[in-house]
Amino acid sequence: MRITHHLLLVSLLILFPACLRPAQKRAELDNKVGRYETEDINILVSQGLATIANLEKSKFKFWFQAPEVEFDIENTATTDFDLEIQLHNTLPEIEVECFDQNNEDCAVQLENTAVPTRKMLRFNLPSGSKYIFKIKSTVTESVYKIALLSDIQEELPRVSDIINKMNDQEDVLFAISAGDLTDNGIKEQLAQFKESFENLNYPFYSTPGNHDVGMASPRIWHEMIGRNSFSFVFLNTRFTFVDSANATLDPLVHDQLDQWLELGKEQVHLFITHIPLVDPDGFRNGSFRSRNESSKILANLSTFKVDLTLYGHIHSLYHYKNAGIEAYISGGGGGWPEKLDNIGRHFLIITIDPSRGIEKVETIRVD
Amino acid sequence: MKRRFFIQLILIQFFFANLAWGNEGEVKKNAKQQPAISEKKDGKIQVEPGVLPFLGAVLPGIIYPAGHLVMGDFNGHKKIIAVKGVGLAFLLAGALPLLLTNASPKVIHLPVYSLLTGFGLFSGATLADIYGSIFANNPLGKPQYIPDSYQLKLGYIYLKDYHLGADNLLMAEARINFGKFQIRSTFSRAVPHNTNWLESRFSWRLWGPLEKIKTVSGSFFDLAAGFYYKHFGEEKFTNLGLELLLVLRYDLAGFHQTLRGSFVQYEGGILYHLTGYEALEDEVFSDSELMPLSRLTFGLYMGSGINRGELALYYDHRHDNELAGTSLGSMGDGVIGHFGLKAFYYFTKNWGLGLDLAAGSVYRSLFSISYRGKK
Repeated sequence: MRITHHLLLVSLLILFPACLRPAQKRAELDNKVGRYETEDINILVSQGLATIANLEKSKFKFWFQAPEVEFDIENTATTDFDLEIQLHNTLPEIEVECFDQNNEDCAVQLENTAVPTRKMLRFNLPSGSKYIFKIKSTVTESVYKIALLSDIQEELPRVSDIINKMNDQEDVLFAISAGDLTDNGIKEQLAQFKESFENLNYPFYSTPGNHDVGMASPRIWHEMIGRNSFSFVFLNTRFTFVDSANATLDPLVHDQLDQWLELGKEQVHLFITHIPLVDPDGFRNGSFRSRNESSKILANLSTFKVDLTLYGHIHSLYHYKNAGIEAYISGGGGGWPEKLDNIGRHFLIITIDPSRGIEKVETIRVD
Repeated sequence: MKRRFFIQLILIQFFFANLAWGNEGEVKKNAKQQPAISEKKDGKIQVEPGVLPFLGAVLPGIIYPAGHLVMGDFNGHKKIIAVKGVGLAFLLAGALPLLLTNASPKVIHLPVYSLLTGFGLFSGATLADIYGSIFANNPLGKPQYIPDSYQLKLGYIYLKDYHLGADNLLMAEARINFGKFQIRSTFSRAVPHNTNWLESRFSWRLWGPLEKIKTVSGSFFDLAAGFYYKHFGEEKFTNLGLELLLVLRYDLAGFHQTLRGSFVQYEGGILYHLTGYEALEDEVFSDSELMPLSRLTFGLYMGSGINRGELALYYDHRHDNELAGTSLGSMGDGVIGHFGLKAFYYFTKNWGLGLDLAAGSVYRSLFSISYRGKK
């Protein structure tokens, strides 16, 4: 009997497998994005808003996660380098500012390619010097549009008609996403996503969904896309993406979010995350694992006067308010659609006036 | 209209759950008709619980509980497999509409209850098999046939929580019986944070032991209505909850003799949950939602008479309290609720100790001391 009592106790312990910080690894890896350090060259992307891949000794590839990105490159070798950097996922119209550590302009060549969102940067980096680059938008309009597309998942091989429809929209500067770009986040699927979306005429910025990171190694997203949680400012509008792929925010992301909310309190502010903080239908519970955590985040978003919350995860379209803030759930990328809703594949076009706020949100149906 | 619809749903699922577990009288009758195991003169059954039956119950147990089979109790085995089958049917009946519509809100409500009932029966059958494979001949205790008139409880709650400020809370609870009715109120306060929770529940016993009506079973059936008011000072929001639920405890001695000393309990209903934010000065509670309530418990009695208590494992689907949903680091994180292990024991006529360990989006430990008495 004693043995069976002990076995019973062990069995009870096995029944408590809950993980309090399921997104911890991803939050820690975020801080490593945008850093490249060797004996010869050091590269640092401000706020980690681009991934860096070393193609050959003096050739690099950057994948942007924001319309405007700053980075510096330092040559610590004893010889000069002729560097070539491919910039991926950029705005179609950009300009580059380059200056050295003495604030002197440097000679840099920016070239367009056949792909509107891919540019080439060539320059000579003398030994011992450090160049600071600012990739900036040339857009001057005060009111602009962005697109929102989420939850493509298993329909990634058939996403081309959505991309065509997105290309048909006028005056859209870039697209954002609340995640689930792939079905299970493996390397081949993320590569397919990048290849497919090179046909989009403007860049695409996303935080991961549960499908992008649930099954795959957390390193894959970081290597191929970049940070899971990030924030950038464009035309006095702050876009904050946070990783909720495990139906919670890691405490590190909570801390970052607090800083971004403080920085964005005077700006128009859009909050983008995959899993809705609150599902309009509590029975379904397609929301954060804890209502208390959701309420804490919503209380902060409300305090800092966030203008719009955007979610995915639920493959339909819902418009409601949470904590007094307009909210949209838009999971129209094609992944396993919700039935009985008459919605189908769709994306949103959001018109933003940086001096006034969110001007309009339109639904564009694909089917 | 909507509320009546939900009440009907709950009653329907309760009806089916009762069918699945059977009726105490009928089970006794059936047991006589099918003497798969022999009985000693004192009425005790002759089975051989031990390591092998336990392993038979645990290893294939999630799919096919074989503890009673290994023990040679074929009648018990058949009953447990039957409950498992009914549980599976409820699971499928709940899962199919969700899968076919990808959880459309137009069809989700009844399937959610069906899923939870199915999970309760399916997992309860395995736990019952494990229990029987260990305690078939020697149950650890008997149920309480006459409820205490009142109970006062003081407790300390520790939360391992990465998100909310309140990690240490003190709680006080009073529970008073008035014939068929019971009022329970709990007040918890975080130290040192400005977080206060007040929870109250009013229950009406429709069937089961009362102060003046002793029964021969620990089974009971209550209707309950409750509310809570929870203010999170540091996080600047407040919750108000209004809930309506059924509470059914079924003493498994009535189901099969090897399960004497154990019970299952189901609490199910509906919650109207409201949230207010300090930043929104114009609106007291700006957000609201309806949520399902479902708590499934498998427990065993410890001791009898004055020195008695209970030990229970539970699953709670509610996502509105501090424990909320569980993450397993998977794609489906957040949907399932939390799990816990709860125990209390009265060492004297009046004084007892309690422990409640649970894991969801936080780890919670609750230690309590209780005083009970007669009016």
